[in-house]
Amino acid sequence: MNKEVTLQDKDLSLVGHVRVSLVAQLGGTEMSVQELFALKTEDVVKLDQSCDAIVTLLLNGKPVARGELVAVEDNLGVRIVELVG
Amino acid sequence: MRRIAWQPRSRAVKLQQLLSQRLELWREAWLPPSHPPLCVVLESHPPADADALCLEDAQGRGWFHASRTFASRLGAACLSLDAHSAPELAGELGTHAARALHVALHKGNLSQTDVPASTSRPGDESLLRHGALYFLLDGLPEPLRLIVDDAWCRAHAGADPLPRQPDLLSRKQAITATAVHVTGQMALGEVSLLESLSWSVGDVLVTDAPRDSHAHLMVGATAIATARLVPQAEHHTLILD
Repeated sequence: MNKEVTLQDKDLSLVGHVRVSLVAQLGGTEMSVQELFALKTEDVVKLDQSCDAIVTLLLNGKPVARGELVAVEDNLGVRIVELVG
Repeated sequence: MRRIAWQPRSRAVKLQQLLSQRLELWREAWLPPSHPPLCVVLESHPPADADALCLEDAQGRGWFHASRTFASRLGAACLSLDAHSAPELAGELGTHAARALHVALHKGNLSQTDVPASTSRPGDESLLRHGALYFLLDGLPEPLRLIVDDAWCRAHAGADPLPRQPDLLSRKQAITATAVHVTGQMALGEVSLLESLSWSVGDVLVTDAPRDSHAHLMVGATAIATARLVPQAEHHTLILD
């Protein structure tokens, strides 16, 4: 019973209500273990993405889209600029 | 010619220094104080002509190479005489002095001068192939060369120092320079799968996260710190809480 089943094979309404986490990945950087252990409050960590750059949206930890962070009244919003499938 | 043995540079230098010390010992005993200083030079090629003296023992073999007139000119230098004055006396003394020099270089002392003369050595190609060294003793009335075989080199240079093992570090010290990739992430809440499938380019997703949401500094899937996103920076920049 290891047959691969695609989403199209099933009615998505069965799982459509399942909620998954949405995370914006802002960028990354490299540091040594020594630098990592030395981090303290108010230290500044500069990431490799410029502020103009888009963020990667992680759905359940998987990158599925890219977008721009925007403010929508008092909340954060994301304008989607790239999407696959 | 393919070499099958050779002397490490450190050993050749060590032997050069050893021979220099022994040569100086002999110079003080046989040459007048006014004689110019002598030195030992390492050469890369064998001399062209036959040998005058050979000394052989369990510690290997060494050969002198000098011209036929070397002994008489050395004797004259020992006596501070002109090269043509008292040639017989100079020749006899020079032979003794040369044998004493040979012993001094070979044994490191001046006690023995009973050296067999004119013993032939193996071909230079064979000697070179097996790690022989060639030294020029410079500063004497005529050039004098010393050829020593591999066994002589090994016996006189002493044991080679063992390669030093590196000092050990604690594992914590050793990993401190390891590079780690860290990412900045901001949790935007949760969405349903059905909602995520309805997205299209240009949509603005309004999240539950407030504008001043804190970001996380992550190593892999592990959050190691929370931080504020600096709004006006050129790059996405986090200030740790």
